[in-house]
Amino acid sequence: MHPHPTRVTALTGLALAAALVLSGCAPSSPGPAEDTPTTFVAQTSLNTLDPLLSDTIQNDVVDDLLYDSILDYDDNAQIVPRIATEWTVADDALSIDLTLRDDVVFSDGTPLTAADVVYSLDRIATAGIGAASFLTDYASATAVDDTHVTITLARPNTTFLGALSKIYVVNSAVVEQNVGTDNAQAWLAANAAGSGPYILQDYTQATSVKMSLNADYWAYDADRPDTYVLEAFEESAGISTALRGGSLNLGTLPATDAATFENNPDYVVTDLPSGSGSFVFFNTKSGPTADPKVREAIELAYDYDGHVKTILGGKGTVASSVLPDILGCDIDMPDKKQNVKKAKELLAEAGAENLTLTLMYQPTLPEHNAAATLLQSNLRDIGITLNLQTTTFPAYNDALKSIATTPDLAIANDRARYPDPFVMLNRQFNSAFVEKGSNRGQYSNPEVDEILAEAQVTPDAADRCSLYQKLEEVVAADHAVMPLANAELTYVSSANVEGVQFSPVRLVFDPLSIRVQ
Amino acid sequence: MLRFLGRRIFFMVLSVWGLATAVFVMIKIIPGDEASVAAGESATPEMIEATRERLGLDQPLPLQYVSFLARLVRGDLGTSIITHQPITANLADVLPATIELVVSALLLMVVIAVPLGIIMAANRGNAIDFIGRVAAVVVAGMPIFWVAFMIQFLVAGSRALPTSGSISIAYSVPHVTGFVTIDSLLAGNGAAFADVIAHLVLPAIVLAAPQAAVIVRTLRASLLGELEEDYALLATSKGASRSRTLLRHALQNAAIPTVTTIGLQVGFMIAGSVLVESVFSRPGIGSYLSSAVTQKDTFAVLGSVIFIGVVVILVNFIVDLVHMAIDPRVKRDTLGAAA
Repeated sequence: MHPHPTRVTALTGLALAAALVLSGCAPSSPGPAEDTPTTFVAQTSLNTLDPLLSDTIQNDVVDDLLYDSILDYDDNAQIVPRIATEWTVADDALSIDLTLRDDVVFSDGTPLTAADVVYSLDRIATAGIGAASFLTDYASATAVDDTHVTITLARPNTTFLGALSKIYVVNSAVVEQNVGTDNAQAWLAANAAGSGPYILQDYTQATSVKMSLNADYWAYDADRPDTYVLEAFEESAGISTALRGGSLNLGTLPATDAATFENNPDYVVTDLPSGSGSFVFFNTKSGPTADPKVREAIELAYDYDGHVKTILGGKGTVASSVLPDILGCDIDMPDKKQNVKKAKELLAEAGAENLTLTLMYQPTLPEHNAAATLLQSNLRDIGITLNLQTTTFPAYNDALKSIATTPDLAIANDRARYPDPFVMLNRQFNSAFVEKGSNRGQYSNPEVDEILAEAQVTPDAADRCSLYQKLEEVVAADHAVMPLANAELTYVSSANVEGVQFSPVRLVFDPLSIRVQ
Repeated sequence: MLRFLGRRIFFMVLSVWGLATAVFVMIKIIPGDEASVAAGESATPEMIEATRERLGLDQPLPLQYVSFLARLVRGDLGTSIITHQPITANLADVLPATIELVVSALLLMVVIAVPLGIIMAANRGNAIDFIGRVAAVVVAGMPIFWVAFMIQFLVAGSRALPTSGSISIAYSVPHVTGFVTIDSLLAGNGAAFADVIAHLVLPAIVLAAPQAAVIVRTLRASLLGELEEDYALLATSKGASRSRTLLRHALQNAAIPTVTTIGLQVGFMIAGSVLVESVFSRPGIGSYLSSAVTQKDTFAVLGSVIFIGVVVILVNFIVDLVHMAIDPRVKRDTLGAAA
């Protein structure tokens, strides 16, 4: 038996129509009104607003907008004033005297003083996480008066000054009111107590942060966007769609996705340095790769040009030295070229033919994924069988805790959190960090240790640079590590956005140079 | 009844314990050092060890497990190693956004699927029924993330509806209840309310579509089954019109399996919100979990999964109660079994 369909269809059709009308009751244009002040929305990922965790790039970008760092770097990677206008490193490199601006106020109107700087340094050192990694030689700080601070170091360190570009000053009175039992970490994760160019308006955990221009900022610039929004996107397809839909003004995209915006006059595609280099780290202490000749053979077998052209789509450069170009002090090395014949000869000299090696890499990183396959193919040409072993970054870090578990080869990125070559060179090559995780090649060389120790007490930047170059020559001769490429990041912005430029200290676009027409 | 409730609550607690244990074991099995993540990207070995001690990760695994369960019993899901905020507080912040999305999707699903199921049953064998069945199979089989990206892509160009976020930047609504829809109404801001609804439309459609296809097929099949029953034939033979037989008699009984299925869909929708919220960049438990996975915030992942699991278990319990309330046979059988 079947009921007559006409009436049922009519009734249910009516209900369906009502549902569709209801679902579409929203306005057809969701955008703001035309007289809305300038707004800029950029894509990022969001963890926390707490400047304690400024060691993570995405946190650093938010902190740069809501807070002031003690010092800063310019586009040429030179230290420049921010809160501190002058600085003096003692001859023994055991202390630093800072002179502070006297016209800085926090967003609640309270003046920023030396006590706030001391409080901020102490808070980070006490918490022992995040930015505390920049303060390993910090002993104490003293407020001499409202505008003068003396920082005392536990051991001589002339490179400590650069770390102050990652130390953001918090309003000590406000933070103290919310200190709780966790150094106010829970409170500052979702609230701000800074003096930066923007004031926090709204924060949604892991999703978005909305900020408004701070009219009382000591370096107020009316040309900056009135509203600054950072919004988290998990997928590049979502970024593309949001850019096309007009709800996003700036986002990073894979080169292939960005290419779809290239000839569209409504968008601008900009390639910026990533500040990061990709490397093959050898186990220099154990196994076949402990032999420098084997390491050199592997270096010679790799197709660097193919890496840049094919894997990076031309968005990057072959890495000529262990230091990315943006850091300066890199040595003038000859162009790296694939030389299979010489690689085979070196293996024969080392008596290491028909080797089987293992390479660890993170398959979630497209560059590493493709480089692993390319290296496997290249090494097959010189008689080396390369077994590929996927990993995660924490698991790789775990493996580095022991020479025995360190893989023969591993592909990983490295970068300096602030533009001082010492940061990268010390971490990668200081023998003190063997089996500690950061010296990924388990490399040790007394000559290198001596150079690093000397650099740490050399006050003149040019002299330090010479030492870094000497160190680079030593590790290059040792074939301690195999730099692959320095990738670029491709940004797509709406045409009305200007000032999309690289920041050597934030390692992404410079958040403060953005202007919206 | 009390014995039934007691048994169900016991099994619910058992399920939560099982889930918590499984997630705890998985977190510990997965390679990686939680202390390294918590200490920060550039942490020194000393910082990592100090963090390990502070978080109790230096304790033997059984002790960590007992401590974890003890916290769980107190409703403490731990502290995020990335945000350093209590995970319970984080989830409470984002829960309203997920509830808004899931409720919207549920409403959309019911309002669209129920009429469609009835229309298809009423037109059994006709073109409408055939098209509806094919469409239901296609929609139910489409991966939710693909649907989300396609809808975003199609709508983005026209800018007819927002494709990301939960409210436009132009609007600021004071946080009162955490539900942006309610808060915008409380603020008397009609434009903001309309904007919030506009932001809900696409994610709700994406979340509702595959589940609606299931409901359409379930309801259609149930209705056709009921129409073959003796009581339906009797009603028709006593002069009831076909539409009256369908809507007044068959629909009531066909609703029982449909309501059960709708209840179960809530669990799928909460799980689906992980993808939908991420793709549409909406706040919510889904995007919180997704972000926690990306950031390797193991404690937040643990807490979120347990929270979602508890919600699904509770929803299933409520579905069972509703099932008992609307079907006396189920009530009799269930309570009889419990006794």
